[in-house]
Amino acid sequence: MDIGVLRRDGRTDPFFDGTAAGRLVIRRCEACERWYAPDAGGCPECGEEDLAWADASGEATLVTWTAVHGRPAEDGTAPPPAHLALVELAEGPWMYARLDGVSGGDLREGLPLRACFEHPDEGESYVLFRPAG
Amino acid sequence: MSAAIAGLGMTELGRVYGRSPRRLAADAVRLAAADAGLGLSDLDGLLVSHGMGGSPGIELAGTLGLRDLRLLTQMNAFGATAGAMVAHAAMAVASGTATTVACVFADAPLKPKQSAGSAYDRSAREWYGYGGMTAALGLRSVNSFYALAARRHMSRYGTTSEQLGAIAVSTREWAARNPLAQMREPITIADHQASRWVSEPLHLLDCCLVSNGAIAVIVTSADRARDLARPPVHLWGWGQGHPGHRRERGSGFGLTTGAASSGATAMKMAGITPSDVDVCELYDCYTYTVLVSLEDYGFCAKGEGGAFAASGALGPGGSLPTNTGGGQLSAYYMWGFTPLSEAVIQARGDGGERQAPRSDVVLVSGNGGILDHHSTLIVSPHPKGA
Repeated sequence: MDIGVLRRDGRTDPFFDGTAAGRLVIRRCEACERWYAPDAGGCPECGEEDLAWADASGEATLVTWTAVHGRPAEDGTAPPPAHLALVELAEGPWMYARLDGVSGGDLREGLPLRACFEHPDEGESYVLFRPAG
Repeated sequence: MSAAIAGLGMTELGRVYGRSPRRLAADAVRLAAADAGLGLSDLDGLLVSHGMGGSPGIELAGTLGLRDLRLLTQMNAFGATAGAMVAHAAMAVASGTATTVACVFADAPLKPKQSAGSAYDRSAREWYGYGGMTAALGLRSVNSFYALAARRHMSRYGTTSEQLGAIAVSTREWAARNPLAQMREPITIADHQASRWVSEPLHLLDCCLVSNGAIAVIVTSADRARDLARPPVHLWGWGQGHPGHRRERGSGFGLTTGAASSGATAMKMAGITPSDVDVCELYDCYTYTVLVSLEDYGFCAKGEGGAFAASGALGPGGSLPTNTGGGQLSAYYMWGFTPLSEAVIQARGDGGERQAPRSDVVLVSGNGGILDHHSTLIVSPHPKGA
């Protein structure tokens, strides 16, 4: 899977420390014990702006999905579609995600998923979700 | 003091090159003022909305040489802006802030020798941070986010691609009757199904056009509008809805929209219920946007939008003529000014071959973000309560 090269941005670096180590690290409001996606800017419940980073279980379920088809090459061959999704982490937040090891017919709302990690030669490690079990 | 739309100005729309958005906007304001029988010097308010290019802003007043304005603002609620602007103008007229307000949208994302799809494309070799990862993995087009919404509705309620196709087909049937429409060749459900995937479950024919151009309307008091050149289009009601669906467990993302609260507010103000609406002009960035808006407005029950669309209700001869000009799907994509402009045309009875049999009450929607922001207007050729 060629996704280009992923670099850190200085604001979400702990997420990439996590992916490098095979852990899904997301945001958590320590004051109200609520979990948020890695790009959350603060806690809308209590106003806390400084969310902690914490390990999530990596367990998730499928909320909804789309398959994006690349344009066919000049020889008529098309790359396999990318299955992109909203997944619900066991902790509650939703993440935009790419699914791996699935075909369109497998997919249904509520499908159990698990985070897995890719470690490209160049650039940061990243997370994909595969059917659990 | 109630307000009315007294003028409508539309530049050439579509593959129109060589004019900047600012110039297009200025042309649309001039056309709208002339349509109303007014001069530019009669304007004392200007509300400006721009598309993807970030222009025009309030410098448009200088471009037009407007002096002594009493209301001048750039507004942005994404696709809900047109309805928000007209409501703001109506409230300005009611409060005495201004008497005669032009509201204008302009955009020129299309460039010569470029595909429509590439007008909004963003791709790169290097990506930064968590947000960059999401884009790098392939979620970087608005098409995909709407596809996620549509798929959620399909999973929950059994909505089908063919039902979305019924909206594409009925909208094209209207466009075939509209000389202003960019796409007028009739299509069938089979054509819809055969059109390439953009982002499953959305086919190419589920997606709106990309257009260059500008549209403006003039809002003034109903009393003043009566003395102007064209029949007034009275503003009976307006509303906004911003549900703020979080992306977390229990979210209504994709299933319900701000049309529910926005529509209820506007219809209450207008003193009507959905059964009183003769014509719908709905923001149709995607076929799915129409389907979910119809449900949330109460034209059918939640989950039954697909069956309602497939019943033929929306097309010519149907019980709820919808997007009678061909909408954003088949006519032209001027954000919320697409449905607004066609509502003015229908309320005036200027629809020609596409004029709906009754247009006493016309509902206009605006939708922005990923079904995040919504506006509603209720307009009529008759004064409210008459």
